[in-house]
Order: sequence, then structure tokens, then C-alpha cells
Amino acid sequence: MSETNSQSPKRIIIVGGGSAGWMTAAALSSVLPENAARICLVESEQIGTIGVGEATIPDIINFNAMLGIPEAEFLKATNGTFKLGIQFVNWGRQGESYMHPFGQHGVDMNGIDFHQYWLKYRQDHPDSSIEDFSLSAIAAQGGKFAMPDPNPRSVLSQLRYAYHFDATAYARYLRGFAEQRGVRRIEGKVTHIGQHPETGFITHIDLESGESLDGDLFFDCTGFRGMLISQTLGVSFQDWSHWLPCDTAQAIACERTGEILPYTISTAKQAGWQWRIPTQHRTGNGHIYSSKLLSDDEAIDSLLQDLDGPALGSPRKIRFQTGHRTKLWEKNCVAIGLSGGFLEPLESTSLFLIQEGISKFISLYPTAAMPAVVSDEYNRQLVKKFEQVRDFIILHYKATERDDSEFWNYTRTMDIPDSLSARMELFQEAGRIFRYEDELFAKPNWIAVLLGQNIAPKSVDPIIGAVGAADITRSLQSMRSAMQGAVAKMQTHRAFLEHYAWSGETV
Amino acid sequence: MATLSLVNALGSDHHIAQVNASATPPADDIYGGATSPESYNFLRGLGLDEPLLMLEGRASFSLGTHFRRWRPGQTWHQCHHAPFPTIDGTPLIHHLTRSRTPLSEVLISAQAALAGRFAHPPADPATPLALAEYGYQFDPLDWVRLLDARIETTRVERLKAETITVQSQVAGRTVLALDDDIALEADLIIDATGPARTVISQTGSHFIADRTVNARISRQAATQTGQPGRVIEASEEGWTLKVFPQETELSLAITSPAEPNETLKGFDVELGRVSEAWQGNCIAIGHAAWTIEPLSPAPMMLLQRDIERLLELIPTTAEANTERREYNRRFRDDVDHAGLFHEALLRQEGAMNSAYWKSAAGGEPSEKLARKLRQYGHRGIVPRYDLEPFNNEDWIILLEGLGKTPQDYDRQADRLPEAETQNQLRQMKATIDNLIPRMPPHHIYVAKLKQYLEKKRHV
Ligand SMILES: Cc1cc2nc3c(=O)[nH]c(=O)nc-3n(C[C@H](O)[C@H](O)[C@H](O)COP(=O)(O)OP(=O)(O)OC[C@H]3O[C@@H](n4cnc5c(N)ncnc54)[C@H](O)[C@@H]3O)c2cc1C
Repeated sequence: MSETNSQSPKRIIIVGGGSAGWMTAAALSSVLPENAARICLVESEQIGTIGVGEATIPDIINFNAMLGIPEAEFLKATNGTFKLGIQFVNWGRQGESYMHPFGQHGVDMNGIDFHQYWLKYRQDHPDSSIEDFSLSAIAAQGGKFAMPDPNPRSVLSQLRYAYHFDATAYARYLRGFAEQRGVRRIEGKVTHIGQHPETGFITHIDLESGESLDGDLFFDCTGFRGMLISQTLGVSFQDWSHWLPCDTAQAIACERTGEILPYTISTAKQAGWQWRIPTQHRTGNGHIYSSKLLSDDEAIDSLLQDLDGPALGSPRKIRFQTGHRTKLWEKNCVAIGLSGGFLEPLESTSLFLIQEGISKFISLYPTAAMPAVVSDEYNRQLVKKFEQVRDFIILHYKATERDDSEFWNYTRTMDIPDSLSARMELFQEAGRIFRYEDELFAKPNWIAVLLGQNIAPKSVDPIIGAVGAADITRSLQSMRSAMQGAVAKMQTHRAFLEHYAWSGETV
Repeated sequence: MATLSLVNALGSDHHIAQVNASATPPADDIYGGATSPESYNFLRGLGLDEPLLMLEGRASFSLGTHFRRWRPGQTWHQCHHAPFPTIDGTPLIHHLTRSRTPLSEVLISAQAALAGRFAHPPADPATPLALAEYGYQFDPLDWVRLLDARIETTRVERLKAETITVQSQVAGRTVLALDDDIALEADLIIDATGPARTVISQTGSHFIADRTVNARISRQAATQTGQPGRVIEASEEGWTLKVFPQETELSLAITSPAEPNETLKGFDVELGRVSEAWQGNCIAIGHAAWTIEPLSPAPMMLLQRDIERLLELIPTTAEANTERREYNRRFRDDVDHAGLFHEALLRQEGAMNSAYWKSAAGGEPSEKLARKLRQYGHRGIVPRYDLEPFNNEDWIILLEGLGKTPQDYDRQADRLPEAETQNQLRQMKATIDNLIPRMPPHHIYVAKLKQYLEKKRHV
């Protein structure tokens, strides 16, 4: 079938050199057979990148593994730290906090979900928290870290982690990786995009320098502006801001003062929330808010007030719109990254959606004719991913008792997608979780947030009725002490990093 | 099965009564006499573990269903198989397309079934037999007997009645009348009355009929256990299924009710599903909720899902609105998704011109199936929908069997030189060819296994 080869796109042009552009370039250059295509990436220093995006979810490990990137080298290069979950402060109620850890809580027994045992256990132990049965949560709270054990019998096998890192350094690292594999980088600003007069396919891009580049396949990684997918091809935007009303961020780094936490902190505020992300050399912070309900000045004041170290520079404002392009692949153009859509970074899903965009593209790799049958399936799969992540993020805003501001009054009472309300009701009845197939956020994630934000089931599942309370108490207490024992033996997060992947960089 | 599952799952504070009408309805036979690999744990949970099924349930093994002359040129073994291996990180199907190698050649379970041989897949992943998966072939009469005996040992109250009718229906709550006079009230009623749909049909849930077929069943003793898998053969009038439990041969002929040939006549079965399987306090399961032809193990797969769904959603309040909504949503998805698999088998170009085949290929084509066919035909990709009962392997084997070949393949397969790919595929085939003659014939394996289990039982 060598004719198939000759039909595949030979000239691939990636416009944009932020995380999306370089992740795409690195992945394509690593998986495509040698000489299968010429890959060229155009980026403009003058325009720059968004430069935020420091927290990830565990799937990033698969992406790096696909590229064959050594973990320690990558962490050193990006000032990376380990992330065991997110601590949510003031979300369900003011003054409360909970941990959304990676990995599961406890161990399912006899085909019954662990959280059902815990719900029954809690009837006699009202002070118990489900976090007490998550190894990642216990380690996070203790500031500890260890690598998961591949042996499923070991309690350490329950640990899951992701990273915090410097996003700009990650893009730089991937640039080196991609260039080594033959990707050509062109510095310059794209000023015009040429289209075929009949088909509307993109034929070439013109740069400010006068250079013109022809291509068969184009990746739009130009960030929010969506220069190819939107400005050129006119693909419309599915707006979700009625469910997710935040539209602005103020981001700033500060010096790190205390220990390096192995988790992200997300604190709910008057009209949005603030992140705190520890990397090796500094702490990233950002205040995400609804500009209709909070002025920029108020947002900045609040951001600066809540830094836990001296600010490094001044806050940078970023405007955004929540939603996605109705088609992420149109004609011979695929939008990856912010050009394709954006969901606020509450659960650190943007880099994951980039990764999904790339891996789905690779699995559907088209011929140069760009048959609609391929892009149609790609769009179906990607839109579904966006929708699944959307529901999980909306949950954080909906499941609240806060009534101290217009913002929370709105989100608490707003209509939500049917898919989400059905899930919330189901959980409220007897703690049941229904998952869709192939969904990013699994049962433990939903449970952590639902319980963390005080969505308490009215009763336990009747199938737990046959299990004796004393047996449950015994099992749970032995699980907990095994986890505490394992965490006690772990190194502190900092000590682990120092010996594993310390960059030594200071700000 | 539902009764046992409920007794196992619910505490003794739940009172469970089973009402049996006089005779076993013949509809049990249209479950098709075969389970899929997914049923293994489910059956064990009911106490129907393999030793019991072999020693007392006359079960034999099933590596799948052999389709013989389904259409001209369409003969293949629809086998059960673990996830296909990848070659150099790329799914097997792309390498097969690239090197134009037939899939069945590298499927151990298809080749073993064709040779009439069987052995348990070992845990050691180094042997290709580890990739084989199996279900059981069985005679429903045997399993009803086994289940019945097990229920006898539980706390279930057993009631007998000549007739079961619905006495009243107030505010979504159904009360039954046994033999017209004894009222039976319950918080939850499970309707497992088969196509009679005795209770669910009285609750306001209606049956969405697809078409009607005629089913004729026969049973024959056999001197030895037959094939390690069912056989389906098409004819002008419809198709015939043969199932080979231990030393028996069950035969089910499916034709059109309009079939003029009187010798083929059995009883009519209306295919379709109820609009809501859970209505008020009544939940219909199995053929009371849906009836589909046993072209695949789908009937047993769906029955299992009905029961599992029920256990996951045992109501905690009298209204049970949330559970009911979720149950019905998943019920519709499951039945519709299983239906896609059968639709692919039945809706084909150039169908025979008889009453059965015309009606089987009629009806609204499903967009979900069209998408699968389009994507597979284009580049060997099978789109998945939520929690479909048939997995990726089932679909690829089916589509290959139906003679559909992807036009193209994932070009990542090109990372490996073509000669190397062919070499690896040849090796896979050679290992399988080598192994098959060393596997025992199915009937001998079953006999030996029984001897062994018998001995173990008496130790
Ligand atoms: C406030 C905020 C917080 C975030 N936090 C997280 C997080 O914690 N975790 C996470 O996973 N994600 C996060 N994200 C998302 C993450 O930052 C992005 O998904 C990621 O950085 C990818 O961005 P991008 O490459 O698509 O766009 P950008 O970084 O904007 O890159 C666009 C590129 O296109 C180039 N370009 C544009 N126009 C032209 C032109 N005309 N000619 C040439 N080049 C051009 C630019 O020079 C640049 O190289 C966050 C986003 C925001 C807004």
C-alpha cells in the first residue's frame, strides 16, 4: 500500500509555539516515520505565548512517556514538582476545605464501591472524612511524596500523581526535542493565510518577512485568536459562559517562602477563585474572576493580598471565553490548544485536552485529501471530551451553599446541563455515581468533589445493608493505618525532589 | 437469576418472594443457549461456578458463534478474544490491512473453534492461547433447574400461581393478584415473565415492536458433546442456530411468520423493547423488557446487564424517580447498542428476497451503525458509544466476517518495514497452527475436565 504513503500530507505547518504548538510538533516528529512529512513550526516572539498553565493531571505522564522523555530530566528542565491533588478552600462553604486527590479512595470490596462502605462507616463515625482513606491525600497533607509501586498488592500502588511546572520552560524543552527530530522552527509573524478559491482549504501562510510557506495540513496553535480556524475558516464558537461565568485572569508569580507543597491550592473568592501552584523556584498564582462582577483593580488587590511571598513582577491580565469551536478540525486545519477551546484551569485540564487533540489526531491520521469522514469523527470525539470536562467543572460552582455574593448566588441557582443534574441527583439519593465510558474524571474524582462540597447522600446503597458494621469498621481502620504507615515512611516532597530532580535554579 | 442476585445483595431486612407460574415459558430457549466471557464472574456470584456448570449444568464451552454461509462468501467464526495485541505500538488491524492478511488467521479462538478443539486459556501471557476467551453453551432447562435448587436453599418465599394478574394500579404502585384472589403487594416488583410481560404491560409502559419472527425449537440427544461454539447457518427462509451443550444438540430455526413452509413453523416472537423497563414500582428484565434474536450472546449479555443495573440502582425511596430515570436511560442505551451488532448482521446489501430477510433488513437504519461502518471502511477504526456491550474486538471480527475491509490503515504501521510486519504476522500464525493440534477435541476436554472435577469433589 505504498500509494497510501504518497497520499498522506507531506508538508505540515504548525502555526504557534506555545505549549500546544510544541506539544504537537514533538508528538508528530516522534511518532511519524522518518521522512514521512516535513514539519515546520512558525511562532512569533513579538506576539509571545500565554505563559500560564502550570498544573497538570496524571495523564501528562503518558504523553511524556509516549515521547520517551526521562522524568527527572524533564522535571529539572521545567522546575517541576509533584502534584498529588488539589486542595479546594471555601468552595462548598466559607471556612471549609477538602482535598481532591489523584487516585482512588480505599479499596472496593466484594464488588461494592469503597465509598459505600465509607458512607455506612460515617454513620457511626461522623468526624471521619473520605480523604482519610486516600493515600495521595494523606501524603499531600503530610507534605510527603513517593513513587507509586507497580505491585497492585502494595498500598503504594494507590498513589497517583501529576506535575506542576513552568509552562514556558516545558514548551522550550519540547522545542529542543522536536528540533532534534527534524522540526524546522521559523520565527516570524503570520500576516495572511491563503485559501484555495474553490475548496476553501488553506494553501499557504505569508509571513511579515515576505516569506510564504505552502502546506498540506495546518495546525492552528495560535492561542485564543484562532487565526486559522476562526479568523480564516470562520468556524463558530460554542459559548459556555452562562455556566462558567469567569472570563478574566490576573496571573503573577511570587517567591516561595515555605515548604514545597505537593498539591495545588484553589481558593474560592468573592467572584471567582485563586490558584497557588508550587514549582521548584517560585509559586505561581492567579485570580480567575467574572469581570462583570469584579473590577480589575479589586481582583488585583485581592490577588496580591493572598500571596504567600513577595510578588515577582506585576500581575498580567488575560481575558478568555469559555467554550469550544463547534468544529476543532475543519478542512485541512486542526485547532489544538486555546484556539480550539478553553475551560478554566480549575481542574488543570487544558494541557490534557491538547494531549487528547494530538493523540486522537494521530489515531485518525488522514490522507492529504482530508476526507470529511475523518474530521467528522475527530470532532465528535473531541467535543465529547470538552463536554465531559465541562460538567465536572460546573459541579464545583453548582454544589455550593455560598450565598455571600452575587457570583455565588448566580452559580448556586443557575440551570445546569441535564447530564450533570442527573448525576448530582443520583449521588444525592444513595451515593451512586454513574460514569460515562472513556471519561477523564472517574468515580473517585466525582466522589471527592461531591462529598467535599457537601452533597451528602440521603442514604447508603441498600446493597451495603448485608455487610455488618463491625466488619466495615475493622476493614476501614486497617486500611487507614496501612496508609498512615506508608506515608510515615515517605520522604518529604522537597527531599524527594532534591535527590531526584533538583534544578537548583532561583528566581 | 434476578432472585438469586437480589438475595445475595440485599440484607435480611428485605423480604423477597418469587412467584412462579406453572410452566417454564418456551421463551427461555430464545436466549440462545450461550454466554459471553463477561458472564463468568456474574455466574460465579450466583453460585454457578464452572465445576457446578460442568458437573450438573451440562454446560460446554463456547469460543463464539460460527457463521456458515451467512451470505455468499461470508463464513467466519465470531469468536471471543482478549484485546488484540499491538505491533510496534500500532493496533493489529492496521498491520493486517497493510499486509492484506486475514484477521482470522491470527485469532487463536477462531482457529481452535474451527478445529473443534478447546483448552482453558492459561494465565501465562507468553502463549497465544492466553488471548482466547470463552463463554458457555448451555440448555436453559438445565440452568433453570440449577437456579431453582439454589433458590430453595435461601430465605426467598416461593409462591405458585396458575395466573398472575395486575389487581390495581394506584399512583404508580402496582398490586398483583395471584390466581385472581390473593393480593400481593410489594415495594418493588420484578417482571421476569418473558414475552408475556404480565406486569410491565399493565403499567403504562408500551412495547415498541420492531418485527415478528417465528421460532422453532428442537432438542436432540447426541452421543458426544459437539463443537466448542454455536453454529448459525442462513437459508432462504431465515437461519438456524445450533447449540452444543454436553451430549445434546439444541436447534432453533428462525423464520418469518409469513413463511409458507408449514414444517418450519414454531411460535411467533415479537422483537423489540418496552418503552420504559422501569415503570412505577415494576421493573421488567430479560424478555419481559426486550426481545432480540439470539444471533450473538446478546440476550444473555443484556439479561446480565438488566440484573446488574437493577442491583446498582435498588431504590431507597418509594418514588425512586432518580433511580428509575437512570435505569431507563441505561436500559435504552444497552438494548439499542446491542441492536447495532445485529443490525450490522442483518442489514446488508443484496439481501435474499424472502419474507424473513426482507423484513430483517427493513426498518430505519441507525446513524450510530452507519458511523461505525464508515469509519471502519475508511481506516479500520470502530467508534465506540457509551458502555456498549460488544467490545472493539467483537466489532472488528464481525466486520471482517462480513467482508468489510478498511481502505486504508494508520500510517504509524509504516514505521516497521513491511517485511518485518509480515514476518511477525507469519510467526503469530505459525505459533497458532502449531498449538492447535496439541489442544484436545472439545468433547474429550469436557469429559476429562468432568472426571477431574468429580475426583476433586470427592477428595
Ligand atoms: C489563566 C490561565 C491559566 C491556565 N492554567 C492552566 C493550568 O494550570 N493547567 C493547564 O493545563 N492549562 C492551563 N491553562 C491553559 C494553558 O495555558 C494553555 O492551554 C496552553 O498554554 C496552550 O496554549 P496555546 O499554545 O494554545 O496558546 P499560546 O500560549 O497563546 O500560544 C500561541 C502561539 O501562537 C503564536 N502566534 C499567534 N499569532 C501568531 C501569528 N500571527 N504569527 C505567528 N505566531 C503567532 C504565538 O506567538 C504563540 O507562540 C491556563 C490558561 C489560562 C488562560
